Amino acid sequence: MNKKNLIAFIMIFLVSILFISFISAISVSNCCERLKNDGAWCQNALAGECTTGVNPFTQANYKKVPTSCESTSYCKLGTCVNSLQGTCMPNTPQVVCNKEGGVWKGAKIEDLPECQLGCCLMGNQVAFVTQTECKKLTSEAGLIINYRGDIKTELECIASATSDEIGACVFEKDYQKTCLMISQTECNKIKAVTNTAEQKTVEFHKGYLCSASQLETNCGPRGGTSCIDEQVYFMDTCGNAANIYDSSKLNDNNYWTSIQEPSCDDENGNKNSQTCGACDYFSGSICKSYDRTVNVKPTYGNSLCVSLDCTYNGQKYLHGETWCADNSKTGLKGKNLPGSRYFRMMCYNGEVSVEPCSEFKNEICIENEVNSFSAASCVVNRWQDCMNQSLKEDCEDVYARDCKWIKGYSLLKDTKGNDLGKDENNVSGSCVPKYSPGFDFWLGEGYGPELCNMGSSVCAVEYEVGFIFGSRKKLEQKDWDEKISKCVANCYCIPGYKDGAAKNKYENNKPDSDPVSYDAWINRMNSVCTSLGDCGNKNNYLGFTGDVKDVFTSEFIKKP
Amino acid sequence: MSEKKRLKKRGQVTIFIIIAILIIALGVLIYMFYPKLKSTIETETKNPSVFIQECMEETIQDTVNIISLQGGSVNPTFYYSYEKNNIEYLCYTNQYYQPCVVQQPMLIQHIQSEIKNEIKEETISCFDSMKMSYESKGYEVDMKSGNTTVELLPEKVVTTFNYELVLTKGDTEKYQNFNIVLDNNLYELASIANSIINWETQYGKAEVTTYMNYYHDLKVERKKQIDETAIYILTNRDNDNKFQFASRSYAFPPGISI
Repeated sequence: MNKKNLIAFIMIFLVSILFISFISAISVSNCCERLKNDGAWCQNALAGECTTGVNPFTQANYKKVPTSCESTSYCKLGTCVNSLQGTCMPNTPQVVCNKEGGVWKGAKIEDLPECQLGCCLMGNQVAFVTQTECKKLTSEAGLIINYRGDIKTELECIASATSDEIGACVFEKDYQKTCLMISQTECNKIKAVTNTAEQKTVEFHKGYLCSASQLETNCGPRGGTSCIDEQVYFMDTCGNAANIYDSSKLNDNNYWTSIQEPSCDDENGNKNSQTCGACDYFSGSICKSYDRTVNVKPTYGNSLCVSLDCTYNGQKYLHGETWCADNSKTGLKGKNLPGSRYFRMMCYNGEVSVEPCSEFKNEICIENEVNSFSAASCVVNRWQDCMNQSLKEDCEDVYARDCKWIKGYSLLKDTKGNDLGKDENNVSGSCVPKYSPGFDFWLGEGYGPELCNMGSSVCAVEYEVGFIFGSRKKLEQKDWDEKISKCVANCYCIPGYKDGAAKNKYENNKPDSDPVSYDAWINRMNSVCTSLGDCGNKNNYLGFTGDVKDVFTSEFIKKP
Repeated sequence: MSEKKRLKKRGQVTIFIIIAILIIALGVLIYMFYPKLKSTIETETKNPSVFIQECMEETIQDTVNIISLQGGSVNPTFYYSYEKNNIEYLCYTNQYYQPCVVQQPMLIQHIQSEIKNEIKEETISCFDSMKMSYESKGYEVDMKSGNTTVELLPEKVVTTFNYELVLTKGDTEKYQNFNIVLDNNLYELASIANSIINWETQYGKAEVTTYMNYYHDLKVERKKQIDETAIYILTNRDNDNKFQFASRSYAFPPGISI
């Protein structure tokens, strides 16, 4: 077998491996009811990995059948319905569901009416649950069920949470006219429990505040501020909430009379404002008690809208912003070096947290910015079938894969060694991962060396040595400059070759796709090789070099 | 003689004064130590509900804490070791490119059952020691043991001991159903965990920011491990209640896998 055929064979073998891996023909043959050593339930594994003995839950032997779990009755996946709690769980094996006392159903969760979620309204609280769970929650809270099956999303459900309209409930207590800011329903409850004589004095004033002077209660204005529903509220002297804190309205009788919106809102959450308590979580502020070591003192009271934004590495991020980082040394970031990993950073509630994306660059972090607000996500690196793509157009299909096209050299070759990878102009090229993946060389899984070998190439340079005075052996002993002068094809593979230095025979017929110099060729090949994964000569993520190996070896043979 | 009488009268006055001082001193002492004396008396005749509360509360709290850090199990059998905790897999697949298979479909029931089993011995011990305590104080004690139920409810964990206790010492007092209520968000956190598992089975991951946008007091962290196991850590920002669990779904190999 000559070298070209050998290369073609290796290529076909590797392409086959990649193809096979993607149709997920996983070579396991048994469905284990449970894996050994109290392992996972219902896994496809080799027979030796299945547990044996008696299942304490069924008093029968653990099952093991040479087929996939989906084909068995005991490990078939379905929906586990918890009829007491009213919850449903998809993708549950029958044996696991039964073991826990659930009711297993073969249907998908979306096809089971009892598993459909809706909005459970409980006073001013809501829960996005099934009807059964709603019944349970409301009965525990002593409420009447109010279930909205027409609300189909959790966001819609949360948005539908409304509290009853509140007002001033004025009543007599200990011979004093006092007041509570509550709903009419709650006020009526007070009326019901007071004695007949006192009942006459219980009055509800919708939209009024307890501090309203015309109500003539013992509750006056200016009783401080407090955090209620994430916002800063003025409090009256009885401890009832009045309107949202607005320092300019501190002595405004009208603001202490009826429920009204503040005029101070900057519509950006009033972060660290000394004068306004209209906080907004989604704008990045929330009501907190004043802490003199951290905040500015509010003009009145001891509560303010604190900022939930973050500072990280000297840079400011808004609450809710997410952004990408990788663990490579500064300057090497984004190079997908061996050992590097992507991370998603998150700023929430004034705290920066880190979410590592998958190891081996199986996940990459992508980031987008809209109106200076950054949003990032760890997404799957779809590199696996890049090397299978022979067309540039398929290679760069961003909806299908994360690959890039390197012009000039085709990884894919036919059995005769001809290039298969072509762009729209029929110029050779290779499709390689856009984000080169990592391999676990220490365990040897994942065919890392085989994948890297795809980047190895043989460049056959042709020389004309002449019949009479020249010979192959003599030329082999010459330096590269002399060799270049005898070169007639693929001269760019000779160290030191530059455009124009070779014999006219080559220069005049040189294909446009051939590199202009030896360095250009080396760079091109290195680019293909290093893109395939943790291959070729690369620094690691800390910037250290590994064992540098020769990238060039030569052998003189007579043209077959 | 008259001199003698006068001296005798003086002696009587002195004695009266000394007695008066002693009475006042005793009064002051009683006043100063009365609360302690009162509490000692109260301890001796402690309400059975208070006795059980004091005896069991710490055990329940510890159990809840352990369970919360270990994916809902006191002794996880199939787990991932993460920062000194063995965290139970609630969803798992041993294969690449495949969705996980749910391992614990009824999480809330499972947690309830785990707590109940873990406090069983302590329950017996507490009720026995309560019985002995009353018997030692001269009570005739008739105690009927019953089952224990643990319920995870919104914002609380309620443990009910369906015991019946009759104390007789002249009067007869009857006590039934001893409750211990623990302020804890385990119900909410376990419900979020169920929702995350649901996402894991479908998409291989759950978007943590969605939960934090919905629930402002909730912090959700996802820590991907080298074998593609994801450790989820749910924390209530207000009270630091925590629940963590492991999942492995749609795992990708290093390189390629056949």
